[in-house]
Amino acid sequence: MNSAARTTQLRIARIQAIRLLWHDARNSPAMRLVLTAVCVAVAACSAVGFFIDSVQRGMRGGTAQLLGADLIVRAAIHPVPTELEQTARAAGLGTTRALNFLTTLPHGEAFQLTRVKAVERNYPLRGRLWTSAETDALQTTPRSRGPAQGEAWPDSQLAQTLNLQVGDTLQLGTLSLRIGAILVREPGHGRLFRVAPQLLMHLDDTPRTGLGQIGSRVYHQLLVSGPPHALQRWRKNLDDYPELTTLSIDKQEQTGLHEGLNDVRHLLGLCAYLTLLLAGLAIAMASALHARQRQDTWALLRCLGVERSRLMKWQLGQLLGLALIGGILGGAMGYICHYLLAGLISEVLKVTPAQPSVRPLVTGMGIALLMLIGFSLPRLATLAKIPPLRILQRNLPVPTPPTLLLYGAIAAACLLLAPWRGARPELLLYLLPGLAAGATLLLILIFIGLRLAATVRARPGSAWRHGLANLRRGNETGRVLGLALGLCTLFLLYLCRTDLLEAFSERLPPGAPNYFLVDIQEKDRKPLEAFLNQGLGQTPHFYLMTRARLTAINDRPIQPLEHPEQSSARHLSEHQFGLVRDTLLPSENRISAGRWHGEAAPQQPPEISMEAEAAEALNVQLGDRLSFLGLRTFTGRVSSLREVRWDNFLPNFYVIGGRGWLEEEPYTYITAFHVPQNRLDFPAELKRNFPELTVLDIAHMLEQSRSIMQRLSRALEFLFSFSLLAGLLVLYTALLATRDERHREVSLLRVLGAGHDWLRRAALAEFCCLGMVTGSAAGLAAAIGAWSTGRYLFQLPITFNMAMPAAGALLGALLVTTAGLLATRGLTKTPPLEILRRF
Amino acid sequence: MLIAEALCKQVTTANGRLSILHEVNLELDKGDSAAVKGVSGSGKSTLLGLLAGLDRPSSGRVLLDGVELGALDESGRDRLRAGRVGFVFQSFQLLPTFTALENVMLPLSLVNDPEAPERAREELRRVGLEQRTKHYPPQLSGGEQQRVALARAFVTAPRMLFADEPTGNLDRTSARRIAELLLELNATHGSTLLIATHDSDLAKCCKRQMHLEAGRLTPE
Repeated sequence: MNSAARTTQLRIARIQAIRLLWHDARNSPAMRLVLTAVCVAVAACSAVGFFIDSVQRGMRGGTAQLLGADLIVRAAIHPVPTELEQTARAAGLGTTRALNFLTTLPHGEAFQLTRVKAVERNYPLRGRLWTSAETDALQTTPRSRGPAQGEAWPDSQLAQTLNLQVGDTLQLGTLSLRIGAILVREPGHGRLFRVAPQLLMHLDDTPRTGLGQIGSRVYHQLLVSGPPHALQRWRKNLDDYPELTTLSIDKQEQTGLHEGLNDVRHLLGLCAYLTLLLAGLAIAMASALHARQRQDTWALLRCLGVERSRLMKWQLGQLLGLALIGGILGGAMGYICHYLLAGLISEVLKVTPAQPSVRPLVTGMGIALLMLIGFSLPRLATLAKIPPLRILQRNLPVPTPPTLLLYGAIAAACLLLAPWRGARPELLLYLLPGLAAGATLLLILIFIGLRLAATVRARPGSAWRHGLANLRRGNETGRVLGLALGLCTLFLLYLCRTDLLEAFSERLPPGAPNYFLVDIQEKDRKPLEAFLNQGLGQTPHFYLMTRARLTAINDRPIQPLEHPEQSSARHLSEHQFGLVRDTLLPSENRISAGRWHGEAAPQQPPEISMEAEAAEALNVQLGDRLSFLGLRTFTGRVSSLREVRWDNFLPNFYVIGGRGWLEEEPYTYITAFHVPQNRLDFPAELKRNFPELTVLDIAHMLEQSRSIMQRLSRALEFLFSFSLLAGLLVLYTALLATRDERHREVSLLRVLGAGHDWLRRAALAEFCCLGMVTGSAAGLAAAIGAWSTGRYLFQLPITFNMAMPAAGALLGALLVTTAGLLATRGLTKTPPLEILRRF
Repeated sequence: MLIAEALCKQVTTANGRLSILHEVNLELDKGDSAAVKGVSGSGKSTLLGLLAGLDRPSSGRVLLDGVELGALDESGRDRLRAGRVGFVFQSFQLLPTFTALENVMLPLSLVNDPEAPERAREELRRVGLEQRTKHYPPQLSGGEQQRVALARAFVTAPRMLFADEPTGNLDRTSARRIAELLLELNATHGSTLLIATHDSDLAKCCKRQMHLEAGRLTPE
């Protein structure tokens, strides 16, 4: 035989060997369970991964949808210097100018605070404007150019509020503008929360409006776009203009959109991670079962001369094959599912998801491999250590993996998998020790519960007595613990989905403020208080406020790009923000360090309290001296740090000072109040009585926030189906593990005369009781877990779910009995002799 | 072909050290067939395990096909068994998820034999199961399963074949048929055969018979 033919034949032989191994794996119910669990885990993680990736790519690649340019240079009060525009054009970059200001638009009897955006005709540089001829926006037209001179395009909200139709005339100051179209969507309009509806007009029309007062509140923009390298080179010119700020796709975290997405990511990540842990548990249990079932096969292979190292290689090859198949199948499932998730969220986030990259698929493969190495390999690797003599002497002890290696690998996999899910690091600090403590608690509870259940008296020889006695099966700690952990994680996911989401929603209670009043002058304060009290029966708190920019910490000047990774730090160092003087600690703030200044006598410099996260980002310590630039430079000394919940829609502030603070600065007041559904006329009434006031309607922001919660709830429900599947896999595997033992026992009992009904009653008694005991313990542990997670991690006003242990007992009995009967189906159909011969 | 000199095996139990084999000496030439008889617990399986290199003796030495097993590490003993040693077990030890043909092919696939399917088919034909190639073990009778096991043991034409109670799970008729087949295949392949059994009829079919009692081997 020539060497080529020999090589070909050897290749065929190797393929045969691989085929035989694959055949072995394929015919193992336990390995099928491992593969299913890997698929479920990868699908859940990939669905979340694809979803996050496509939305992020939608945000990044769709710069057009969000910014209308690659970069926006912003300036307050004064226009962006023309030299910058000239250098940009010289560098081959495209430019256009815009300005934004807030004004109140009258139309008939109605008033509406409106954000006016005046743009040049070549706006936007990226993306398109979508307009409609009707306010209902059923048919939209894409446009690549902004409104012509003399035209205005209100957005749908503004058109509806002011009852504007295409062709109508709108008065803006002294200028009459014809409504040319209804603006449905525009770049830069993708922010999650908007202060006011928008009107788009031509930039050259603004001088003719005669709105002199807009000068104090106007923001000028220079929009720039072009090749990344040219843009990067040109950006260096901005160093000469420290008063200018920029907004680019890299700074999207400044928008509410990103924050909204982060919330979604964290919650979905947590849910996916718990699913992954459940699937990991199923993999660990199924691998143990497979190892037990394959002991004879591997001992036989050793007898036939297969070396231990070769067996180990095969084992690794099998796992790699499983990871590959599980990764591809799970990834494909995740890819399909992400469209459903994206469909739920994209509308409310106002982002069109882009085609996701292959990265989540690669990550899926990595997850599959890591899960198999962590949860399966230590158990399967012991197969290679099976002594060949076991084939002759079945009483030889079976090697087991060292406990440290077994649990160490699982813990390492849990840790390594966590960051991939985007879970917050502090989640792990709670979650992993929490799970370990939960497992210990479960074990103790179940041990006591099963012992108690087994002592229940029943007629000797009855099926119930036999079933209950089976609860004392030896060597089942791992199986029962796995069962309980599976139930516990399922219940925990259920509580996350219901109680936690409900608690999240309660952050936005029905009576939450939905209107803000800003720029309240001292002279208006008392009459306004009386007006609010009379009209709504409310006495909201008024905060004295001025606007300033942080310039130095302990006299060391702040560099704008010193903290690029911290959005709050960058915001504080680049923008003016509201500083407040108050002696009362806002109700939902908590002092985390130092002491609240309260009514303490004025000091020099005055005491101030800073928001804790911003302080950490800026490396501000208690006792530090902060300098601000408002009308003039003034300072304050940090005497306390506060934890603030920014998502409660109450007035929240970075810096609150005590007595003596802001005394030299011009100030206004800010307050918030709630307008109930039956007093929707109140804001217009307020505006008529106090025409100079700026009224911010955040009702639709609240509505959007609630909408996000509802969509999120549905997305979680969707993901919950994966968790449920993983949980059922755990239950099924746990019960399948004792199938062989049950098979033999049932056969013996049948030989001894036990009938089908008797055997079914015995199985029902055992599974029902096992489910009740493990379910109630799991319910209690889950209730504790959800309560502590909500209370200490998310700071939610969550109440302990007292019903969960009882509900857990019922659900546990139902699930375990169903899974148990499924796992042991057909036991009574096989002739007893056939089964007994197998053992 | 197979030499055992002063072979001893002791194990440690909760009650102290227990001696299973005492000074066992044995020599089999190429083509020999021998039976080791003994009651359950006499140490037959332990002796087989030591002679096949599945375990290490407490003292003494084993030479299999001219190679001293004590000088080899575990991998070396595995390599020596591959292709040179065959086994037949009381409980057949067929892989339940493999067909009869795949079970017989297994030892050939493990040594990357490119002609595995053809050789396995031929061996199954020899044991009279050419019509059962696609059947799985649970679909075969006990006698048929043991015939598949015989085909698997002989398919590599091993120099040495160990059989542990090969008729222990079979009825008298099947046992007789298997005994005949075992010796017939042994003669055809020119293998050396060592059977551990308590079946006197089977033992009588071998050229030599020995008795193992309380760990000591004596010729009959």
